[in-house]
Amino acid sequence: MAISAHLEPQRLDPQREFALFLDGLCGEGGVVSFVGLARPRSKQGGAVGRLFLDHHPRLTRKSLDDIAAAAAQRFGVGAIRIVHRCGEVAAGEAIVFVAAASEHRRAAFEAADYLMDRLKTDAVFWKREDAVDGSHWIEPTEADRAERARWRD
Amino acid sequence: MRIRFYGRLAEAIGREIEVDAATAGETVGALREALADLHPEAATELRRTALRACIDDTIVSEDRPLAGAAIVEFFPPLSGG
Repeated sequence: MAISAHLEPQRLDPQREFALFLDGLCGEGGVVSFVGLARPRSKQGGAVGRLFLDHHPRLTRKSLDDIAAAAAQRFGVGAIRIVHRCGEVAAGEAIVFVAAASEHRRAAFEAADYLMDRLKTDAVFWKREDAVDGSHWIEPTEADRAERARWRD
Repeated sequence: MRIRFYGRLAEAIGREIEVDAATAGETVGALREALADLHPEAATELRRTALRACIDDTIVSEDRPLAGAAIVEFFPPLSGG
């Protein structure tokens, strides 16, 4: 599982994922992980009960695989793991887990940063926020696009 | 012909509908207009230039002929993860 991605319809347990990732390493010296949680507040400040992540039966998984492979090639890291939720995610629950491991720390930091910026704009999801003031479909913000643009060649 | 929707379009129209060939027209662009007429509640979304059509897991242009396509999928702008 050196480079792998998984689409998870059930609850995501980041601690279990991190433990599995560590168990699968082959002598890498630096590990960086990131966990994204469903925020309990919308950008407008309303309380959010849950997110719904609609996905495509094939292209969503492919987008995760492509992003993982691109990070591995770009930074030369030895191991990458992406686990992304789909379906209904309650506020406070984990939506995404990413981890990268490399011989030295810098590549792992950069790969994890890159993975999240790519996931925020290029992963094939349609995300709806169910808040007390109504439901809203989310699209990437200018800030998300700016973060993604940092990695253009 | 089967038409599949995602995101806000799936919420408005449903995940999948069937449209007969005569109604669908000859191209993706014609299909879009036909769907907008059939579903006025989603017409604005169906006519957005940011909406992408997908056949055989590949994004296609508006002038792509529908001949031979069993399923056409419509993708609103991605939210990202």
